Amino acid sequence: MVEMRKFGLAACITFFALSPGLANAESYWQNSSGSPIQDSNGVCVIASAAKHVVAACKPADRIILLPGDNGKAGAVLVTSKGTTHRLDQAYKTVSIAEGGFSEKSVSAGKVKSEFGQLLNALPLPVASFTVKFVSGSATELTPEAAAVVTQLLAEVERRDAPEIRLVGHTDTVGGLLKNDLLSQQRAQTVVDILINYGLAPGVMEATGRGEREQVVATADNVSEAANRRVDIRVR
Amino acid sequence: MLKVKLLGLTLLTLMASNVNIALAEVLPSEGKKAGTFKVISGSVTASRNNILHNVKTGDSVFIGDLIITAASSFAGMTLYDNTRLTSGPNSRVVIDAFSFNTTTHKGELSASLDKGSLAVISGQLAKASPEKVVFNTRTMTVGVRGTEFIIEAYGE
Repeated sequence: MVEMRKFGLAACITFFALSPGLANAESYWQNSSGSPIQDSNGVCVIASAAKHVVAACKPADRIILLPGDNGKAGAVLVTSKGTTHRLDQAYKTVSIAEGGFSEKSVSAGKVKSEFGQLLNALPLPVASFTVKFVSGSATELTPEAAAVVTQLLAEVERRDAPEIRLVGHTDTVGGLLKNDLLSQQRAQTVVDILINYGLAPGVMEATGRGEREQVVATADNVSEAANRRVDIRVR
Repeated sequence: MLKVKLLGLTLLTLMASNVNIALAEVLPSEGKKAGTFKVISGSVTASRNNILHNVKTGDSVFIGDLIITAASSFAGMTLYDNTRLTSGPNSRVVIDAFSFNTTTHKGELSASLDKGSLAVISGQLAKASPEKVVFNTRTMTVGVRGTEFIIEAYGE
């Protein structure tokens, strides 16, 4: 559970940085004095048959802040030529214009139509699972563990190039060193179970953290079911 | 029944397992790896020590890699701090620096987008070491910050 909370709280910031290379070399309409003709949004008007490319109208690098998984945007600090601009609202975009930063809004629909494929190609988020153990045992899982293992295997199955990280834990009953060993053995038990279900040992990495990382903080020598566990993250 | 089954399987394979287990504070023997390519679509190449490698799903991302996507191609990768990145078509991305301590979640991530597009969902580094997560283009530097909040306490 603690692992899941950690991920939930982690800042989820999504952004794009677009540089001139993304757009094909475009040509733009110019007025009689050679300045680019811009539309009401300040965007240069592209002329497919124009003879001259106007340097000032090369597309500028820009960044778009998107909402995270929880619907809220984080924040980014954009620095250019010694000046910093803070962007902290979803669907705001900032680009580097002649006179400095240019902040605008962009619709969710436009982001989807323009960058939907890019967003779809993001890897899946990490999935977290926890199996619990019987008090003092390195090998005996609680009955609920079987269903968790089934879910975990399904999660591994739907991923390309899955990587699994297992971290064993204990409650505070017993000494530090004994619990370090017990936590490692618990992680190894889960590794062995997963190998039995056909997972390759090479995709798994197991460690033990002893009694250091408690879900429910207790005094020393307290039996606590929630702390006797192996946390498993599928990446 | 289920418990018994799990336990039985465990005992059967205890000997067979060859997964090393250790009290590791940092990811062991990762060397200069920063993560794994998870989503490869189209043609993706990594320039590593001036040698071009054809990238496929499951390959490692190395520090210093210049990741080149061809037209209509995408490269999605997950770094060890769970930062997720995808570069779009006709892009050039360099992983300039990466380190991550799995215990403290401290470290650094620096990447550059030379051209093209890059979508980023920040990971644990942006939370634990926000000042150390930086993305660059030729004209701007983007520092990633976690969500900010204010706590007020009035006591009794």
